Amino acid sequence: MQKKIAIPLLLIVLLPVAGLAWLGLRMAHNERQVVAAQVQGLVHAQLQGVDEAIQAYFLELQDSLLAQLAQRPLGNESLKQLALESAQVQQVLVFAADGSRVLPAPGAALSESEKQFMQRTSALWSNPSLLTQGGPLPMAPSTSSVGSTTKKFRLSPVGKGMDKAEAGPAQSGWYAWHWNAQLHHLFWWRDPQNRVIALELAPVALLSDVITRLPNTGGDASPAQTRTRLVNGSGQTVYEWGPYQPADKERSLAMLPLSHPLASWKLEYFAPALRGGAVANTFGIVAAVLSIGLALAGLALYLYREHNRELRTAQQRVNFVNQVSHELKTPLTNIRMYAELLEAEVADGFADAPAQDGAKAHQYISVITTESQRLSRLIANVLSLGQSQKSQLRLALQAARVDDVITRCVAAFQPALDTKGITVQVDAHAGAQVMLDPEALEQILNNLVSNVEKYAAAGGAIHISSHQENDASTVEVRDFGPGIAPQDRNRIFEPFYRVSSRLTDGVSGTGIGLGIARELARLHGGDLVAQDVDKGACFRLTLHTPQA
Amino acid sequence: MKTFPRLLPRWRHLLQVALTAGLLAAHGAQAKTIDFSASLATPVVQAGKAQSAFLKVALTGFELASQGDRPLANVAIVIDKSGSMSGERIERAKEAAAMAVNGLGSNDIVAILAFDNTVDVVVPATKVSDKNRITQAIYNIQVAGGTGLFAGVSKGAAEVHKFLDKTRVNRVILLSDGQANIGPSSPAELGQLGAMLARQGISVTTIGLGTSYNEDLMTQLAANSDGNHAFVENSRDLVRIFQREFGDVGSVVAQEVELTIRLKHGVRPVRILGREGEITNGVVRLRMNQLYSQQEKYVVLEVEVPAGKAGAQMDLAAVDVSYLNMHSKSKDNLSRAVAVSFSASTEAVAQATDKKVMESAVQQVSNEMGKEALRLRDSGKVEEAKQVMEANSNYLKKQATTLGSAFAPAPALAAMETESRRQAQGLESKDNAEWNVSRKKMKEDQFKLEKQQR
Repeated sequence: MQKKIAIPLLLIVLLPVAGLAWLGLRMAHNERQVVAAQVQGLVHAQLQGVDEAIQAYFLELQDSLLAQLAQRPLGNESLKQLALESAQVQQVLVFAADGSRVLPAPGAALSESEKQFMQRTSALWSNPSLLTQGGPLPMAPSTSSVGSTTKKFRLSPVGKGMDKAEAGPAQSGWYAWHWNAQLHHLFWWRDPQNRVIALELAPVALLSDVITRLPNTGGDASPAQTRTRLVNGSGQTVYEWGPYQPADKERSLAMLPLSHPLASWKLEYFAPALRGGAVANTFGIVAAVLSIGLALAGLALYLYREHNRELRTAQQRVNFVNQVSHELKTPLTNIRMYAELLEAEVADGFADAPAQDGAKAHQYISVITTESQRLSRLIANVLSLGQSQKSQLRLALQAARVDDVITRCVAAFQPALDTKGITVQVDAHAGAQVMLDPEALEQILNNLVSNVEKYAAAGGAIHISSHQENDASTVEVRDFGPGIAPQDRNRIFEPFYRVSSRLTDGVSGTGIGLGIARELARLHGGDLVAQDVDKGACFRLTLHTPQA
Repeated sequence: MKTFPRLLPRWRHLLQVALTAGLLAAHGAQAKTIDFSASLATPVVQAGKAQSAFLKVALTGFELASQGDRPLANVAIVIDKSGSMSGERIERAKEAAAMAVNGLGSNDIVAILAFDNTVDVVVPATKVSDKNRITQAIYNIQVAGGTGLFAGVSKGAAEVHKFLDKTRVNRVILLSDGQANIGPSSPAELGQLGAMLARQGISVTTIGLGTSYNEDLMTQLAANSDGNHAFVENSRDLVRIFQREFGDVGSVVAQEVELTIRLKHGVRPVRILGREGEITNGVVRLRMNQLYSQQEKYVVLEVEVPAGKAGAQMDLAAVDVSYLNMHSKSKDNLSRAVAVSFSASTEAVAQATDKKVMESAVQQVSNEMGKEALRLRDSGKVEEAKQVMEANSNYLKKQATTLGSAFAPAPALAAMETESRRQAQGLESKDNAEWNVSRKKMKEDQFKLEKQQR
């Protein structure tokens, strides 16, 4: 009994707490995701800005290179001079319109750096068309988009500054390639004679220029705790800025590959994870869950104690009834004994008296005897219930007839029923000799009938019907009183339950009769249930009654 | 600001000559020009065989007449603030930088940068009008992190670039004590950066502090941008080194010095000793970012002279120099022609030998041998390296005797010989820390000799 109540109470406490915790965590998780998505968006925009700054640098460089080319004669000497003078350009190569080499001049002696240059660009010499596949900058205005084969090499025409050139084959662009794990760039331009002039940029100069255009740490520019890294094609950090110090293997919060011609490079963004907010959030949830859990636990404890108190009261009642029953047992035994003695005496004394007188006295005495027998049985049952409930109930099966028991019971109650003006209608169809405990059956019936007498006198009638089928006997006791509400139909079988004070006002009862009746019925291989009927109450008793 | 340089004995004579020439020029033509000479170590060579000869082209800055002549500076001081700099080093560095700033005039421009993994522009390029604010910012530098040297120099150069002016001395002064580990970190890459900055007219002076920096990287960066290099083992010397550096900055008399040596037909260039230059089709091009007052900078070119008949004379080369005169703020061009004569007499050849020129040539040849020894030692060939140094010492000894006398060998070369023998012993060192120090010292010496740095 104790455990039975403890588990539901625990569930009452734990389920809402668990549900709440889950909901809270879920909410926190969602919130984090929303925040993370927003941060991602912001960071992405920021990185995009950096990419655009780098693109702007390439545009600027492209314009300056075009301007330098426009200013000078495009002869070999002049172009070599350009490579010598310019801080960015380290080598120049020129293809004739037919793809043959013009500069470095074939046949002429090459300086050491030119030899290395030839080596670096050997792929181009065997296939000059590779060069012009390196398209213009993605940001450069274009008159039409031919589409792109890959992200790295776009095939879209016309770079900025070459507006006069009509759409068609690209007039200028960037070619990027890796040599000795270093990214090299060529800016190429188709001159009016349809030659391709390509300027190789010093990787170090390019990088240095890019770095000078990227933000510094410190100053008023970036007070936020972030770190952005420019990472090259081999995964090495080339430049980084921002005051935040990421841990050794920390994963970046966001990553953005750069646009052509730095396509193999990327930007990585680091910042402290949004742990601070999450901690506060989780703390709030835990606090809420804990407080609700505490409140529920308090409530459960209260209910548990209340329930215990009720149990104790019930126990006390049982004890009380037990004691009273014990006290009643001795006088009752005496009453029975003397009633039986009296009966014998009367039989002797009235032997010579008029038959009518003798019969009457005999009848009275037999009622006293039967009633006292019933009472002692009742007391025995109460005592057994009190001791340890059903285990003490025993059946004594014998060959008997159900209808006989009904008749006996009705006879016993006849005077009381008559007094209350209740008419009895018996519909007996269970006359076969079967194995049953007539005392138990009588006790059940007595209980049912006495209930009718006590609570349903207003109905003015009681119907008792019985029938048999195979090994089962069924008895139905029906009245036309106030009936039993559906929700009470099971509870009336619980010990000490009484439907309501309204019904039981001024009526005495122990509240254990139906409980014992049901126990007996179940012991007998059947059941006792309250039936659903239009008016009044109807109890249906089934018993397992094998053929005698 | 200008201090008379503490001269090594071997320069004293030359400088006196240059000084006189400079003064004469100043009196004669109002405008001062640099002293420019191109001469062969052996103006007379043995007839009848092809042989190598050393051509020395020397440039000497004129004297600055007064304090007012000092060119304006446009300087970025780039300080390494990586973790290894913590403690006394960074404190000394701050002190040295602050003192350097204090020595500048209100029209000079200075920027202060500090770098670890990232670059912090402590003071963006600004006129030195509020020295307190600048020094305060310097003292606020905090130490932490790695060594993003490339980015530091790039950003420093960018600050210099803001006020880039040919009539100013545009310079990045880098102070680092560690190995670059963020961004490009090889000597070659930093060398390229230096070369690129040189083309923009910016030179980078590198100061290596302690014994764990990469001396190859630091010397290459300085060499290619024509800046100075110094090895400072003890941070206490930083203040002195900074003062010398800023003294140098204040004594620049010419910038954008471009040297073109056109060899006549038949004369083959063998190698340039000391400086980096481009040789194409018998034309040798060299750049120097600046010339300092009263200081000789030179290049020695080894050429192969074709066989000639005794008594004949041939034009060897035409040498042109163009530079921006910081005094007159105008571009100057100077030309010299070099000729060689052939003689059958060994005595006549020896007689005609220009001992001063020959000495420079010997120094540079010896320096090349020292570098070769270092390369061998680096690749683990200690024995071979020692042999090279041995040969070097013997070569110096022989030349010292030839150029002086058996009793009084040429003092500069004799000093070099002693140093060379000492270095040969250093090569043997098994102790890594000790070798580390000697190597840095050797690098510094080689650099100074190569670039004629004071």
